[in-house]
Amino acid sequence: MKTVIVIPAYNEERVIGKILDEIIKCQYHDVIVVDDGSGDKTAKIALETGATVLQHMINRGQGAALKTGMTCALDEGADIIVTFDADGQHLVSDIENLVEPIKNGEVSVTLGSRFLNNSAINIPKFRKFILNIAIVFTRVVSKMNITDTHNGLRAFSRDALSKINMKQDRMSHASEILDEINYKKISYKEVPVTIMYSEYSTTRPGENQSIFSFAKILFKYVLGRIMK
Amino acid sequence: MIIKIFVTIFVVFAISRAILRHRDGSVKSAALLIWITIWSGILFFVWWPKVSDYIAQSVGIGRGVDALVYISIVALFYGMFRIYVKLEFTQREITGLVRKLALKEKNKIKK
Repeated sequence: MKTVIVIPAYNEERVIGKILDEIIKCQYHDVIVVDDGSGDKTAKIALETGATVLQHMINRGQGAALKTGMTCALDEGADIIVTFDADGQHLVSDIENLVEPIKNGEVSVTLGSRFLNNSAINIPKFRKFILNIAIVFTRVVSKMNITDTHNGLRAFSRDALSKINMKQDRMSHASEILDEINYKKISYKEVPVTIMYSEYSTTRPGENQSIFSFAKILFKYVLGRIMK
Repeated sequence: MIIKIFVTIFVVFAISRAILRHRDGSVKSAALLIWITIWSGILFFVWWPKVSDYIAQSVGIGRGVDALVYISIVALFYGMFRIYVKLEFTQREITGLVRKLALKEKNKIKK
């Protein structure tokens, strides 16, 4: 089964090379990096590691970058598509745990959860608070009893991903994916994953986890639901 | 009286712009009709404000000017929402174009 890793990246030149080396070392050779209009050498470094690189001419947001990568993965005949963040918070060793339930036909989608085994290392308190609100919101709105939302580590079967219609360009795509899974009745399960918060991942430019940022995501999500 | 003349001049200017845009094809006939109606209505209430008082009192609002302010606020909010929705659609179209280009130019790095 062909497994393709999709990584949306925006100004990640400091870490992208190391992450891609680790992924390729673990025998995942089909990697698609979507450079979302970075102003640095993210795309060049990614290309040098042997990954397939797609470049957005201008920044369109993580949701848009993911959809570009997913479209390419489906075009290239992927059977399983894994989404992986570019900021170094995810562990490559978790990929296998996400892929396995799809490979053996147990479910069509696996969602990484940092709270199933309490594996959110060094999580800032405020972020945990915001995530908890998001989890309650998802349980109410998307009617899904899950322990984590906005976790970028997920895996989809080809069939499931073909059914998911993503329209949200920015961070609200995470809630939209859950909505689609619920609405299209796609089978899923949560898989415990580790999220390593580092100084880089929490302070890099563009990283905005303020209450205003959360309110903006919520507003975009609600607007997206109205416009569907 | 001076304010009435200023408003009249502005309304004539606004209607003339709408007609010009209609002639060059950027404003449809239906939209032109709506704009002419709105501006004519404004002109009417500026010259005959007592009519607005009468209408306002019949729906339970004290003065015609207050009713106009309420209606304007509601109309502005609605207009803002419409513009926001249109902007969202435009953003999606831009994303679609950016995506198409990215997929077409796979592994061709610009920077």
